[in-house]
Amino acid sequence: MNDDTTRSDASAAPADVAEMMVCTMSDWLLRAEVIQLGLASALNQVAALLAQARTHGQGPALEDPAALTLTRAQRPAFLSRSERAAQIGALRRYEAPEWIAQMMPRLSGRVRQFVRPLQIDAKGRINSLRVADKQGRLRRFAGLAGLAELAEIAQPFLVYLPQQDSRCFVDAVDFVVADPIAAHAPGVGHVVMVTDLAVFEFTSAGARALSRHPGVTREHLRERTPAAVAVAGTPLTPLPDAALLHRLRTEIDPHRVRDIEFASGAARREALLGLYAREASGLLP
Amino acid sequence: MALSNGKLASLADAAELARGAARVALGGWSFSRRPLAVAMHWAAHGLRFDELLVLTGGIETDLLVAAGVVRRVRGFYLGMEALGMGPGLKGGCELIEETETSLMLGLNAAVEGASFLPLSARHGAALAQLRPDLRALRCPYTGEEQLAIPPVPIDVAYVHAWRADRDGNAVFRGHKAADRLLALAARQTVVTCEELVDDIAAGGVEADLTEPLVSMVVHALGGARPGGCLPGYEADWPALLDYTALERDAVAGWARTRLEGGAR
Repeated sequence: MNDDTTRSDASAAPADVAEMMVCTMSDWLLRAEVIQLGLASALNQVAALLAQARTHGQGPALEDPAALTLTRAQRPAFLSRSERAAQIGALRRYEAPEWIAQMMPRLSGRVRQFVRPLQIDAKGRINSLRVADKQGRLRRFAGLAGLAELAEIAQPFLVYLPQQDSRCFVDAVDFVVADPIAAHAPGVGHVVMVTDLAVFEFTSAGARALSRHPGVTREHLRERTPAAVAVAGTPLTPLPDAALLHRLRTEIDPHRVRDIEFASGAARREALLGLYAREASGLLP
Repeated sequence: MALSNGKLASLADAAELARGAARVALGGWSFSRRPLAVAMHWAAHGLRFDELLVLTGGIETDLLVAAGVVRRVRGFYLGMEALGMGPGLKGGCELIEETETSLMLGLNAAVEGASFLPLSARHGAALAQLRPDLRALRCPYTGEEQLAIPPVPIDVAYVHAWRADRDGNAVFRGHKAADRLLALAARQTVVTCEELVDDIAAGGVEADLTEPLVSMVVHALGGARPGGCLPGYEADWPALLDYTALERDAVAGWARTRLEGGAR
């Protein structure tokens, strides 16, 4: 791995929350052998492409579920045109059974992927299936997917939350889909989470904040974080340097895929249509 | 000499194979190569069957749930990804939960004629809570705790291909999904296609799906819209977003309008 773009506290241009998260997430992807991009994971895709660019294609290979390809090609991020983009420089188009049942089990300890759960708790347990509403009724969301297997093979298990609050970062999840700490021998399991507020680490010894992002006060972080997670004395997350931000904005994510996960309600529809229009003008083979 | 029409059929005849079926599978993945022409036909004409099997369930699943075509859905991921959920999935439906691995095992068990295939219990802890029908066992060789995943045979599988010939040889292009496995696990398979050609081998690429597995071929230009089918077209997000805003009881009419208008 040869990362020529380092992080420093001397930022030449301000990074917004999405940029802060993507750059921090890419740090955790640099040492993977394979990064899985995941379905509907805009920030993971951008962070993975940034990590790959930072290593000049000599770092991780990307498994892209949009066409189920493995590639080392460096390219900009796309969401609405992700299937076509995923075929750029594809080393192979896999059938789903081949990747799921034959390739993934071979990647133990070598694969990383940032997953966005419905909930994560103070023990690092993941819920992607269902949550109770205010009336206690269960609402079902995405599904079980392959998270139990990923919890075993991905080290560390990586998680992101674009909006950390008491609904998604909880004392105990409503349903355990995967338990990445319990999936390993004591002292081995490791979960890292990047949110809009901070970076957290979960091990069998407990959970703690590794850093809080600039502008996030200790009080605000404490308020949004389960009591069992230690946040005292947390240093600031290093800002991405100007070169990294420039690369992100101009080469990796010129269409601003990274913003999609922060839009909600009526604004989300407009954001999606805007992204679709911008991507339509992007050149793809 | 005139070419035989081989397995060529109308969309209506092919769609009819699913009527009353115990389990129907739809191929494709995400917004890619979903057999939406046939799904819209079912929704528009009120056809019913019992179980829909999908790997990732998107708009095709959503509209079949909304229109009351299916009684339950089996899969490991439901939703329209960045676009959220449509009126069908928002309203909820009966589900048979799977993980990626358990569904592959169930399909492979059907293909191989096995009474079950084992899933490591450590990968099935959540699944076992949701699926009391799954039996546990201990591996006679290693002592490992396992879940016995039963076969999930399919009555009819529908897959949408970029190109096919009249005998049923088909080229997918784009995402390969698990369509070959679905066809292997199915009693009958219908291929809908963008391009109908005389000789699939003349295109210089091998077929992804070959004729012994295929019962019917339907020429359905635009048959994956408003999803995508590379290399011809990509998913139409504005149309998909319009779909997500529909009321549940408007979905059958939406499907009928698209079919009649040729807007698929």
